[in-house]
Amino acid sequence: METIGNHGLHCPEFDDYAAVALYMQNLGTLIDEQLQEQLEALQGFMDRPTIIVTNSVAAVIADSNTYTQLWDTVVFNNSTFMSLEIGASGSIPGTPSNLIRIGSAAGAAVTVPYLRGSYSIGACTSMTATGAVTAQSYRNLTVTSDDQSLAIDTFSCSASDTTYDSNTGGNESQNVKFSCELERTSGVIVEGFVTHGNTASTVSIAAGALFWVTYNGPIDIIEVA
Amino acid sequence: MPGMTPNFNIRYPCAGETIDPQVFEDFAEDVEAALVSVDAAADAALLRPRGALRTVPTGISTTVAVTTAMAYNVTDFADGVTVIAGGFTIITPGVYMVDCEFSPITVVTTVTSFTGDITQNATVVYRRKLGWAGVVDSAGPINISGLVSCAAADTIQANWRWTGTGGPMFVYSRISISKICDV
Repeated sequence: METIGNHGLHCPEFDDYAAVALYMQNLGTLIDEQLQEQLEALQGFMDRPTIIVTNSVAAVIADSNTYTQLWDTVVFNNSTFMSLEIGASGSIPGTPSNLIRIGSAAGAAVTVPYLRGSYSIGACTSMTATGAVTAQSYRNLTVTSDDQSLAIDTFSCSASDTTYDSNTGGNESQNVKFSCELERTSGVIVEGFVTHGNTASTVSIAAGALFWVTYNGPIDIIEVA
Repeated sequence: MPGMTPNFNIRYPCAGETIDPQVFEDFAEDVEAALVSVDAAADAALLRPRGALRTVPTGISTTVAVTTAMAYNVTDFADGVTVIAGGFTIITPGVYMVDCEFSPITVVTTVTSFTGDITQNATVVYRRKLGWAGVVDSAGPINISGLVSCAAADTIQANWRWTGTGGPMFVYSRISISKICDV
């Protein structure tokens, strides 16, 4: 058999004609495998792992209370390594958190490693005072990415948006978006915290707030010595 | 009976079968069909639906306390999405990244708050609202962005609203959209 090109394909030579059927089976199988690899690579490129979560009901919180359990419903998730966890152990000790977990939990067996590379993370919330408005009181949304597998437990990345209520009808809204790099295999949590300074009354966070994570692509540069 | 490969059903003769020109024709046609399906995936990867629109440079006139839809008259680019007066209509279902910039251009009498929205089928999905404490005669720029899970025929548009006195306020805006993944 004579080898052709760079994909392992081959063609029969003069002495191989009696094995044409076997040759065609082998050739067809090789073509099938090569094309399937290309198709899966293209589909993987098109389908970037993404998760979007929301809160199905409005949440009412008192002032200066860092609310960590807003998110309760998955809107979309095409990944195998990201999930919404309710009441998990988050970055604030002793406070349960509804968070997005990337990879397996820190310290546990790595059964769902994440894809190394760049991620974009974002969220949006809308808050309205349930009663009186404390003039120019703050409304804050903070989103953090925390690699709990690191020896020093610090936030890998975070973004925060603070707006101030000027008592113009409510729906004080915050929007954050940032990128970060995840360079290990597991143990990352992404949290969205909400807090406010409206001492005159509680504040309602409207249902339908959105919180999301998407994989942008790899960042590794492979050097061949 | 011919055998077939597991993924693309490429036919090949089995031992003992007669090998004639039809066998080679079937094989070639099946390989061709497999290549066509991979070509389609490659085209989709190269031409991810995306678009970017902007208003005229002089901006859109907005009245106090009125939610005003942005009108995008200039198309920077649009592939795989339909451009409509206020934004985009989705053709291919998917999760899309939407970004919108609002830049107020003119001053008014007073401004107490200003809000930028991204809407999906006229329902707000992303919003940012800012307010001023003192007597201010202009609004500031707002950028908002986020992922939206879209079905075919969904519309993605943007609104601006401000409170205060005087006006109208002219607002320049740019909106962009890019497909992230299938749904």
